[in-house]
Amino acid sequence: MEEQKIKSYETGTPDAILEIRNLTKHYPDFTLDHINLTLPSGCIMGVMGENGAGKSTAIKAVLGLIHPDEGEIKMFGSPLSEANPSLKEKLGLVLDGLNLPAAMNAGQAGRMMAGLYKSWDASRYTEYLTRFSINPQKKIQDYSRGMRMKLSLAIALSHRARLLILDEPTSGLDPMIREEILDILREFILDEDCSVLISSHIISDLEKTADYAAFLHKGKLVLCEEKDRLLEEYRILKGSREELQRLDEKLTFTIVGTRENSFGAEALIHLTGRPDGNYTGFGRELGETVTIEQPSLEQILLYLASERS
Amino acid sequence: MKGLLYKEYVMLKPQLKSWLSILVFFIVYTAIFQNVFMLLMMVSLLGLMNCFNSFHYDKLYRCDEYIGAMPVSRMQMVLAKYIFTILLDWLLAAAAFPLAAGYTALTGGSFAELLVSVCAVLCVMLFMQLVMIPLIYAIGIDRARYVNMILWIAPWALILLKAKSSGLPSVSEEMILRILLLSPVLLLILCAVSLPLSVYIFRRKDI
Repeated sequence: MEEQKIKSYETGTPDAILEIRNLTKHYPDFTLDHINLTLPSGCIMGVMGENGAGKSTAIKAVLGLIHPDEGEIKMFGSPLSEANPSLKEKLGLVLDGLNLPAAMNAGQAGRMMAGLYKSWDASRYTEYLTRFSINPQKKIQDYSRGMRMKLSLAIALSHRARLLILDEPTSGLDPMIREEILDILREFILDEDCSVLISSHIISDLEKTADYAAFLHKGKLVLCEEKDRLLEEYRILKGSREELQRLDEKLTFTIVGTRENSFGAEALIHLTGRPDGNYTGFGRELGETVTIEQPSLEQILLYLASERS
Repeated sequence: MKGLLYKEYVMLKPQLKSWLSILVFFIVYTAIFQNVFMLLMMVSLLGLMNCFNSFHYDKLYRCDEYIGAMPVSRMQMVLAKYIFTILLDWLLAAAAFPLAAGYTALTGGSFAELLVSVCAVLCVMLFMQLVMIPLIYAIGIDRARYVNMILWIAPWALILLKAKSSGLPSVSEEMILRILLLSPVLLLILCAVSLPLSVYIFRRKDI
């Protein structure tokens, strides 16, 4: 199954829930530049990047809120267009904040959604409100940020959505609520027909949850890979400046970037093309004092970003 | 569509109390100064205010961003605004009618004149909204407010200037009635232009 998913990610086979091809949008001071992404079913894809990298612009294009200058977006195999709003029946949405009138309460929000979604499940909504301890009579203006996010999630999960799109859902939330939200996402993809696209600049959250990591930097997609493969492909080497300067191409890796400080130097390397495919003991080839560490997703992305900058 | 109309209603609900106090104030004003036309003018202003408030709240809470990602087309989003606005105008006119009728019954005024006044108020409300809604979609709510002020002030300023320079032409009762009888047709034509124009502008917009 996993192999199948990876294949679909690479080639864009029909089981992809979301396909973005050459998505481009020009603004006077920013360009979202030919983004290509494929989200297979049963997966969580984390879209990362610094503020202003283009995460929200890409998500807005997927939601049909902005008109791309170029490219195509397919959702559940069909092209997204104004003429086909019913595609969004299967789309659950959590934006950065709950974009509903502050005078509304959760009960009224439910009644509003019942008039918008054909597949609205009022009993499921009530279950989620109970689970999240949301008082249906309390007005949105009196909610904390965490409560707003939970209500947004309750709405997104109450109309049998197959694709959840979350734009910065965990920013500004305490770790307990963040973990609770991530648990719900993991629970959601237990159904293999469902997928999640989540953007965040809290990379640790995505490292815990995502199956795929996409990294946007200054409007460009720097990488999009299966997270575990990504973590497998990169290493951090620590040693003296001289030792790291002697690192050779024949050791079959690419130096992505280096950093120096008063204690020595470190480098992020991308392991590529070892004939034996085994990187376990290759540290010894570098010298005894060079240490090799498994980088976190955040470290990989920081190196990649600084390299691109 | 039902959900969109419900959202408009929920946004209007908290304002109803303040609307009621405004109406009470103008009922008292009418009783003291024996002038029902201020009450009728206020009714038309409330209708226009609601139209602006609705767009203002949508902008404040970024509702369009959320709703635009739901299974509703942009045409339905625009249509819901028109339907709710027009329904509310009729409700306001319906509320103004018994108030003005009560005043006429007490003061012994002409019932026909009262009916004409209420119809005129409804026509003015609809006219202003049908002009303003595409403008709000085109230039945004904040700038549209200023344009609205100009649209209200400009005709009065022109009339005053004309009155000062050469005097105003007399308007016969027959002419007023003819304009009133023609206004539903004119409003229908205006609506047939305003609605597609709003849809066209909103469809091309990035939310």
